[in-house]
Amino acid sequence: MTRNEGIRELLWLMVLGGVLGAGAWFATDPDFASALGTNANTATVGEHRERLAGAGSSEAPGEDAGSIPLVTKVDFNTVMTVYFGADNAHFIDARDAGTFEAGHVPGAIHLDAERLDVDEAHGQAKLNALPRQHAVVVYCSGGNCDLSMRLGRNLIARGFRNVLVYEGGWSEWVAEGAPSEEGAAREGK
Amino acid sequence: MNRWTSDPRFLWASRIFLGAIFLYAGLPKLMDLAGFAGSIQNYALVPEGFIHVFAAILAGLEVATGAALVTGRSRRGASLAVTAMLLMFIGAIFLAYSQGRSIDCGCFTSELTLERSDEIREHMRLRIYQDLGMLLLAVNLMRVEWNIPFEAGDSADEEAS
Repeated sequence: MTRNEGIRELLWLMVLGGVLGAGAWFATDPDFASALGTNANTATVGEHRERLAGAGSSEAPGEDAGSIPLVTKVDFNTVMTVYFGADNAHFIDARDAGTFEAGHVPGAIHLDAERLDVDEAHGQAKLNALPRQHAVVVYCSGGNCDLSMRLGRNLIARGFRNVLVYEGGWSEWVAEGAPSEEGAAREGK
Repeated sequence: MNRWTSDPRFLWASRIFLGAIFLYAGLPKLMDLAGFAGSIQNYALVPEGFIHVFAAILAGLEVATGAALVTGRSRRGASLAVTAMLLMFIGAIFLAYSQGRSIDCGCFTSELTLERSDEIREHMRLRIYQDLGMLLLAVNLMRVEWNIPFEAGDSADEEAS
């Protein structure tokens, strides 16, 4: 009997928590129901193309998935076929300056994620030059590197709506034989 | 049995402490679900399509559990919920830490981290210790609320009393 009461209390707390969560979500995003079940991270190459095509307009892409943006993870194939070389997509290298200069994606902007975390002004000029509705592909070394995710979240907080993290990172980019360039950081492409 | 861990004053203090911590941690998450969802995404443990739902429910459950502990309502359910959540938090942070990752744990605030990787990992380690300490209190609460015998002699003591 006591156990059953305890389970009932737990279920009651879960229902109350769900109601509180739904209320908070609704307050954040009145159209929150549209985000249920959406999964930007399983988008097909075609869907990524559609989003990128919409990136040139004033309406930010990805907003159809609700106004609570998350970082979208993309694989090498999507990066290469959709975003690499596109006018309204920008690559950002989140590694430190030394590794960036040793080799990076052609045209990539350098933003040291660890410096950006401790110095808000770092790279502000570079970020200001990027339209917030454009796609931004962030990468770091790959593997367990968390710099790209951290930088991606930072960019969302700064108003970018279509932030993509290329998880394979530089190690996969090189292994796939994709084009690269060396040299110091530039102000942008 | 008159063990200090079963002392009503100790149990009351444990409930208030845990409840206050969960309210303090949960309310900012409810007010910034986007940031909390980002923190959850960092762990890469929840399917991407459910991150928003999971963030909303977890933040709501933290607040509901914290309020229940502070007010002394639904004690059995709250003690079970707080124990389960702490176990989940410890497991998630430990898993990320053991993988060599340095992520914002999203424990108390959804704000972006202002620390370097090594400092973040140090904080992750501290969070695990803090959560383990809170887990001890939560397990003790659960033991009392659910009448779980602490050791072999306890059940005999309870039956006798």
